[in-house]
Amino acid sequence: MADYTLIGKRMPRVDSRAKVMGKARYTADLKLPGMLVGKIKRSPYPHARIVGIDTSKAEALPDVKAVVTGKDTEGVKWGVFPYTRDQQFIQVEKVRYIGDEVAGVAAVDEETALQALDLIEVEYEELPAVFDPMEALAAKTELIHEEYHNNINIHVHIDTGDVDENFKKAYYVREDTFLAPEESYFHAEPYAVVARFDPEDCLEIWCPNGGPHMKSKPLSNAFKIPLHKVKVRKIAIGGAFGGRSEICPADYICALLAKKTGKPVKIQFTREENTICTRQGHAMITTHKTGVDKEGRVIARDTTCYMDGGAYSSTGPIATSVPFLSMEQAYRMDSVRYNGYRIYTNKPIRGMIRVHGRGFACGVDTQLDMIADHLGIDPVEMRLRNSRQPGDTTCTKSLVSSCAMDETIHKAAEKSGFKEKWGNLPPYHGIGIGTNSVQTGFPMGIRGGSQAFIKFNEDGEATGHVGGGG
Amino acid sequence: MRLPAFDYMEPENLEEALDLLAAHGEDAKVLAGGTDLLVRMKKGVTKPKILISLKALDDLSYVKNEEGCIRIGARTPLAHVIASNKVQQKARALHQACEKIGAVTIQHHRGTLGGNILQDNRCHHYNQSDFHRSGRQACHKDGGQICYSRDDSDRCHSTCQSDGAAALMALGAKLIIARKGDEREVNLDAFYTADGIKPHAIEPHELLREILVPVGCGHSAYERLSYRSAIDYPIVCAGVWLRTDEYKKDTIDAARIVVGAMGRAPLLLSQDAAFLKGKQLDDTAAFEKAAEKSMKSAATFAVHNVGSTVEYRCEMVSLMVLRALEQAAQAAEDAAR
Amino acid sequence: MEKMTMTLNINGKPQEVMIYPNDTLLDVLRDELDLTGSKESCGEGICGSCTVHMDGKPVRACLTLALEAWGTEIKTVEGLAHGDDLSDLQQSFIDHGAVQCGFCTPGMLMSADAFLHETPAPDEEAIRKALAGNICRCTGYAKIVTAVAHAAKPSDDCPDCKK
Repeated sequence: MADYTLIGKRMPRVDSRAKVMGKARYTADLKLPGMLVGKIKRSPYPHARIVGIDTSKAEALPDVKAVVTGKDTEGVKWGVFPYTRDQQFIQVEKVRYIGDEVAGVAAVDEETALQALDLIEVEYEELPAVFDPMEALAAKTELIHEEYHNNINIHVHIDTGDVDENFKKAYYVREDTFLAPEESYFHAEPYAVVARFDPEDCLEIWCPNGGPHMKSKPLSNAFKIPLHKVKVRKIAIGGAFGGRSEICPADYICALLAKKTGKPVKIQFTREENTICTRQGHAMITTHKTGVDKEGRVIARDTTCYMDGGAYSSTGPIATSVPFLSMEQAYRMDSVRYNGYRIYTNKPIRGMIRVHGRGFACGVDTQLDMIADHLGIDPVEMRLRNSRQPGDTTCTKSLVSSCAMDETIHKAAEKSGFKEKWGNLPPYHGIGIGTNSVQTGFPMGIRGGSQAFIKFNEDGEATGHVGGGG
Repeated sequence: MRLPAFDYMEPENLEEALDLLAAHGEDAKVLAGGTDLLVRMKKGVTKPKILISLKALDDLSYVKNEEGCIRIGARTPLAHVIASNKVQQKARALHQACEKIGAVTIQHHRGTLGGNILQDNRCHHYNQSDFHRSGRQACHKDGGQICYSRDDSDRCHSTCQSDGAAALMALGAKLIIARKGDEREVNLDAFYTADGIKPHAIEPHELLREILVPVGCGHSAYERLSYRSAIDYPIVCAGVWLRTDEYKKDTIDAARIVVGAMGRAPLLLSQDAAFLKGKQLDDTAAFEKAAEKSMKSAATFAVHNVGSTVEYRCEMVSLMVLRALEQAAQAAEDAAR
Repeated sequence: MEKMTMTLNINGKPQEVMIYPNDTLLDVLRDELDLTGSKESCGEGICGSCTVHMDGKPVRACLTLALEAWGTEIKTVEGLAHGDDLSDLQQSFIDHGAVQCGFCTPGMLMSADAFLHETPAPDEEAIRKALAGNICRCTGYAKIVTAVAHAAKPSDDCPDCKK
């Protein structure tokens, strides 16, 4: 390799000096002149109708500068696609999980804001709640969203090749069900947001932000202001793990309080809020029926995946396809059928974790090992016989122009000492292999690839304006 | 997370502290290291109007060696207890327990031995924020009439998860509790009430002044299991103490087994320990039997409220007891050599 | 409940602050003194992001009342460097990639700094124990442990140690 000045060199992170000195500023560290403290009133019930909200006592408290409820909003709902717009940023009719937003307050200090929260009186009529996706599917109780029957938020159906015919031809077929639990990101930094309207009436907002466009567009919609009037600022982030790539209702509530008071407002989540009121990873129940030929090559697969989506759709339409896409991209299959269901439950909202949804088809590799075991094939060899090759067109007609799956498998096996360790480790120790592939920068209008503008300066150095498609 | 408001009082000596407690006891809480109290205040499970700080009471911070006992001031930081050679040699269970409390950076310098003994009972359902608890009926410990960890229970099943308590009870420790103009001594096993709501036999106007650890003869050990090796409370623990016969150094003359984090109080299992009398120090089968008995005794008390499953915690009781017994026996054998 | 004036000794300098009894040391550092290096992540003494030194010992600023800090020497992450000169430990964190999102970093540094003062040549197990009260969600800890080990004793075999 050529001797580059940067590539192949050990480089310190550009921000690490500021971080070890305690100088790096995160959202909660920001202070703006006249800034108020914002807090959010949340539902303590998983499913309830809002009968009434009385904010008069909170408003009467000295040093409370604003109280906002759903009445103060334009009534706009959020969802990543037009057909999944199901979430208002402050609820008006009912709440759907413990932590759902019902009001916001801004006060001169935290203590007053907390007192004001306690003074907001919300009358609820509790409704039966469902916490298990399979129960939610069959529930006779009030739907979480009335327009989504059986609590099915999204159904992704894919059917390519002659799956049923190939199962008949298969040398060996097996069907297994696998579970993956939900996950909370547990970012080190609790979510925080600072918002203000600047002298030109532009909304300026700082928050842990893994996707500025997924913040600015919903804010522009919710306030009915042009997109160019929303400035989403970059600031140090204390961990995102995919979970901070989307609008958070607190962004909107903070901005609404700033608008109503004419002052900057900061909302800082508690650890509890950060756990239950930000996005989480979907739980999955996945059944794979797989048929292989004598050599262990997959000729037919029928996968059904139920994803526990929580209370709102979030980025669910994309999430529900991703387990299939990851599997399809990593492994060759002559024919495949996929039914992905995202089910509403009265739980925190599930969105991205690392990728949209979950970047793996829960159990597909485990089952491949079971099949390999039955056929007496080594797990590494099993991967090689099914691995995606350059020049392939996938079942759903994507061209894989380049990939190095075989080399990756060989190298991973070699570096991990797989052959020596497989079956030879002491009790409670083990080694396994799985492959996965996740698309990035696919031009479907969701993510627009990456761009950079480089300006060469008078002093011979350069300034880069870069934007990643993620 | 904001602490709720309170008044702060800082007495300059013990007498002044007892005066303040006599005057304000019902409304006040004593602040030592704060690593337990301040968390409970932030969660809103305790709402004192006044905090009486022991900050200035340096004369409650000591580890004193006396004939036949170690006296430890209630406000002694855990780090000082851990650093004491005498504790390490003569009251090993206490040393081991203190080392395992929380983490070096959380409890060891601020947290005190008195605070650990007086830490309130815990339960996953109870140790939650005001917000969390506001969406459901109050439990017994929260002033209500139901228990979330055992259906239809007429009482609170919160669990005593103090490391220090189990170790000190095995060592036969006593507490010196002061009040204005008076003082009393109480055995540790009588101090824990087994009442989940009010787990300690101490009145609001009283102050834990000293922990007295008898160290005549005998060998002790402490074992615990927790999710993480640091930070977390034990989900099961065991403190044991063995004394060998004065003449037959390889024969057990007396024993104490205490199982902690399994019930509303540390469980002093006298009958299971009595089984060991007359057994040899290398009688592994006897230790296994005693551990098995301890597990059966402790199992009746456990409820699902501090993490993991009751079944797993019960199984682990015997392992913790067995390990602690083997350690104590080993120490006794080493001493006899 | 009244606000009172008090002098705290922070990073070697006396600082006059106005406080309420229910202000924690962390509240005062961050809000009154703008020393925002100490972070609030859990607020209940679990994560270690707010670790500062009190008379040289690592403590949780979120579980220490500001009033209780009176009369002690407080050191925060902002006090680790001498002006622009980083301490060996800080530099080691940079060199070994022990800093990612950086939110746990101040607490990690304060725990490690206090530890290295007492144990100048620690082994890995001792480092892990000393840092067991600090939670990191990014690094998986390996690089942090290496950074602490090599801050005390640079290694010839380590490509990240400054030669």
